[in-house]
Amino acid sequence: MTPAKTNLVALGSAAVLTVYGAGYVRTRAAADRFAGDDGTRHPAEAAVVHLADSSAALTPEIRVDSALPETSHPSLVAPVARPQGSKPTSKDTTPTIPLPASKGSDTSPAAVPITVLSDSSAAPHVVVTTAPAPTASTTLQGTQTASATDSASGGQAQRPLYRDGTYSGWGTSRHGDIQATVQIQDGRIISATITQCLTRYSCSRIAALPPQVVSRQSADVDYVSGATQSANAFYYAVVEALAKAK
Amino acid sequence: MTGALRHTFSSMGTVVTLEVVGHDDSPDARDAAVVRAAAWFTEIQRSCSRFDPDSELSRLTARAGEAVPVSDVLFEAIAFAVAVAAASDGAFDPTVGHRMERLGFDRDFRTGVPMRHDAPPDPGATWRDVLVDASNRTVTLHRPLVLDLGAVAKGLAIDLAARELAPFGDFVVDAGGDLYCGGHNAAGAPWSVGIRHPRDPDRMLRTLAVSDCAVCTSGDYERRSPRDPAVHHLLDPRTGDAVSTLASVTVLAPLAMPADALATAAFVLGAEAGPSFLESQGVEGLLVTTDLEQVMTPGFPRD
Repeated sequence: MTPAKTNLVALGSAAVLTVYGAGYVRTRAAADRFAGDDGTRHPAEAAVVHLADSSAALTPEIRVDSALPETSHPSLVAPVARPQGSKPTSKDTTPTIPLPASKGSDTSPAAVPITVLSDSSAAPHVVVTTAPAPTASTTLQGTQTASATDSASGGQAQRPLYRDGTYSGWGTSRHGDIQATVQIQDGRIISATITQCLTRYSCSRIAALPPQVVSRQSADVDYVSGATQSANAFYYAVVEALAKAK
Repeated sequence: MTGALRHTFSSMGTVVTLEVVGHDDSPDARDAAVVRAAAWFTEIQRSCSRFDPDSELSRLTARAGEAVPVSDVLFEAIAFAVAVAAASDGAFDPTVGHRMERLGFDRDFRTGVPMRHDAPPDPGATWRDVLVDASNRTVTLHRPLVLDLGAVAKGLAIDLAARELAPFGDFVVDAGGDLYCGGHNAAGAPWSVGIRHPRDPDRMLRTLAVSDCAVCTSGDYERRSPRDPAVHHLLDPRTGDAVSTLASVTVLAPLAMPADALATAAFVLGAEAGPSFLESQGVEGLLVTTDLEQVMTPGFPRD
């Protein structure tokens, strides 16, 4: 095979810079639109929520795991942001950090700094999160009381009404899919259930979430430590179901 | 106040996670950067999706024989894909799309809607039928063909998102297992990245500690044809058959776009020619055969 003459890393770096420079303005304008939202979650937009720290600092393990289930369900662009608490590290913060490939002026790619753990066993994969402050005061599971607290809390009772009926949606995760079904009556969510749990882990781990859909009148359920993927899948499923009710 | 921010969303047929470790008191700036980083994925998908009939790529594909002006995103993605094809003597070939479609990878795997083409793709088409004109920023498809920019587009989106997050130093862009790790994790150590065992989803083959590095893996376990489960999605463009000697290839490189494309090229080149090709491009790689033998480039981190 003829030796490669083109340095593809350098070429790639130039390509990324070109696209970044050209598209930045348009992308930024779109992002600024999203950032100025009124706090209501919109599934198709990149709404970001910043939450309080948690106490523990754990090393997150990022798995190179490409075995995601391919489903025929419509995928959702339903971003959910959940931060993790961390200890501050003593690190110089420089204003801008260039892409590694642009370090130096020669065309050969920068040396990749890699160190190897002596113990190749996987570090525990633990995600520590804190629950987001609910935007509506928590009411009893399944009840639909138009209490003064509900109507005073962040406008949840004034949000655009849903159409009455029963709607289902699917959410996907790398551990399997979840189907959620919501019931709308008089424009409000009166019930939310997990109607199909196809995840490899039991959905009992996220049993606390369906009632939150009713109490909060939205898909903004908590994360569950140790069941992040399932909680995510349930969230996406509810988002999809509620989208059908609009 | 410190805090880390993790943002997960669905894009390009996979789950994308952006994580930024917070050190300073500007959560708003961090949030805005994360939103912009996520927006790049939407932008790239809108231009480069083979499955969306309204994508810029699909509209280009419908105009074979014409010099079509294209956006910077699509131009750079196609130009890069063609460059990888040239450098790998066709082992990587973005025109492999029509062969993929005949094997059943012919629909958006999220919606199940099949693709249709006005002009049937020419079965003899190769990457040489794609003409990229840098001065006019046009692309000409000399024959009806199908362009698959999957490997390149995802890597490009990762690199653009990483560029948005770079000012914050410590972050990860993870697009379904292809990722870029910037700086260090919250504990101040390099990011810990596990390489999935190609035959056992619950095990890791290796764990690497990386910093300022892209890690991209191509594996035969990722997607299978809906028509024949024995057929996976990584084809040798020169024969049209699924590659059967390797189970996975992982590439470490300073950027995700080349890492992604080179992993695919090396997968096709196989255990014999793959490592030297990666070496010649200055990247490191781990190739796992179907017998689970591991072959590495000389600079790949060893235990």
